[in-house]
Amino acid sequence: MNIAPYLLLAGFLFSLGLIGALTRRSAILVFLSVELMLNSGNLVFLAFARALQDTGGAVMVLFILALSAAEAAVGTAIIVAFIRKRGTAEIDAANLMRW
Amino acid sequence: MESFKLVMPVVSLSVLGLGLLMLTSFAKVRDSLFGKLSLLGTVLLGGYPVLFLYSRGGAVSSAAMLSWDSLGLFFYLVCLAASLAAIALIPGYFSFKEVPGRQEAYPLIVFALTGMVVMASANHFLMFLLGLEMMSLCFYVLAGILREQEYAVESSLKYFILGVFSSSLLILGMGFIYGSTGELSYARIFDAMLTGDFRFGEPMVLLGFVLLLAGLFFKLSLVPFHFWAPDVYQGAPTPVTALLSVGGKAAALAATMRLFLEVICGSELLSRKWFALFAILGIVTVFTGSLIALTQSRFKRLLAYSSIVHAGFLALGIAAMAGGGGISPKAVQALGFYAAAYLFMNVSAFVCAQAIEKRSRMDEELSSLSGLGSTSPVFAALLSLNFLSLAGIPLTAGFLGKFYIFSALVEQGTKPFYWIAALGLLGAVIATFYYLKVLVILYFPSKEQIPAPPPKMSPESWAVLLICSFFTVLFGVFPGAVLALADIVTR
Repeated sequence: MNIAPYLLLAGFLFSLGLIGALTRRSAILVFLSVELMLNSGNLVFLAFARALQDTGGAVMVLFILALSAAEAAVGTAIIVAFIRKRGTAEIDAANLMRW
Repeated sequence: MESFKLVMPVVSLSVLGLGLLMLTSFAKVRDSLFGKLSLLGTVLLGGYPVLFLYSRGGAVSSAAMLSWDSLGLFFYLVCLAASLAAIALIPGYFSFKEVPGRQEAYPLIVFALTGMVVMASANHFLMFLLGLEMMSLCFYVLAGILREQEYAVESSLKYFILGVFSSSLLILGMGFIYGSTGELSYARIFDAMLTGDFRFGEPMVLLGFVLLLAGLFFKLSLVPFHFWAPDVYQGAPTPVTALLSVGGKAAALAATMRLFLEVICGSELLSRKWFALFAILGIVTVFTGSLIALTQSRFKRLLAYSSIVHAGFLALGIAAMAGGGGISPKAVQALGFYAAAYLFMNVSAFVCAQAIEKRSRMDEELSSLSGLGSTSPVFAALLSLNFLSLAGIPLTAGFLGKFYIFSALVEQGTKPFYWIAALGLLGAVIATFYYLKVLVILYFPSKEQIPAPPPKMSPESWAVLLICSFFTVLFGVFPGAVLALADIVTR
């Protein structure tokens, strides 16, 4: 199986997430971009698991999916707490502490 | 029986965590009682497995993906001690009347401890990732547990976003290593490394390891990945800061050491290449951390930069461990000792931070320590003792930790190692300045400053401070016991 297209797609997703995480100003969108990066890791695992005909990588993906669900739960809770405190989800509002 | 031995620590800690969680929701246990109950439970259910496993000589299995060997058990002890300190410090830090329903802090600490010990003992990528995430998720929540405090919420948000970012790098790195070697367990990856038969060539394995280590560097707060540390350390409740600076770092150190011992060091392709990386990162971290720390005027942020500097010394220790081709047992021992020394002196320093801090900013200006040497002599003496240890003055554990790291570097006996040891020593000298600055404020207040009132501390805080200071001195004079435990390779 030719896995190059899958790796390229994963690379594309990863770059997209990275750019989003660095440029977006809303905490929710930054979090979403980071999740995109996580999913590119998932795609890499799946592509290799398929190419190697090995279930190990596919099992990893299942666990990573569960982890990202847990992260999403904690993350949205933290963002909600932040919005309650500051009235906005802008990352720039997190400016109490510098240096 | 054999398989029970392997999962027992995890089961025992999870049962404790779940039990405490149930108690918070279903039984109305008084807060003071609940704190004591958590402490007792962690001593019993957390301490029993480690004693049991030590008495049986550990347990290793690649099928269970865990190895409770001397490395895993040593760092189990370090993380357990840090968690106990955090649990003991919490009642003195926030009353639960002030923040209703915050009893979950105790089970969260227990779950974080479970994650740390799994991370330190994992010999498979899956278990390593699960341990790391279990620890980190608990830390994100714990950092923001005082959700009425703007600083706490902000630190939690920053920690969360950067933490998830670093895990995604780590997962991608694991993916590339998996793709090239076709394996996930450390022992099998090691075999694949020995044969050097990579499906997609050498660069992909290297890329995988770089990404994986980048994720670990974030947890260790080495310099290009340190930006979260000062903000999180300041904003998080101080007992939590003590836990995540000691326990989190120790677990990440253990995971890095295990990667080197079980995967990287055996391979000609990799081991020497990492020496330069860790040496340079270590030196850069020590210098950057020290220079920024000199400009700090607040107590917890100063400690944050100090912990970044200590991470730099740990990186130098890893360079000594891996650099000579093969593993240096002495460097491994030095790293273990440094982690234990760091545990005691850093926890004491954070107890002092907790005693003087103002809730409105989760921190306090250094100037408010002025004259405590005369108004509160015992407190000031213990604080100075631990700061001297952090600075690396002889007769303290901190000195011996640095001494062992540098002697392991010098023992490698080639020119680059001498250079690195020399640069590291120079960094250590710069680092003494900001510790001594605090001592000057304590004992030689300026004329116009009114001496600060003695800090208010709960009996538990005093107990933690006294015990940790005792060990800082004890292991500075008689290091034998820790050295024997930390002698990981030859045991």
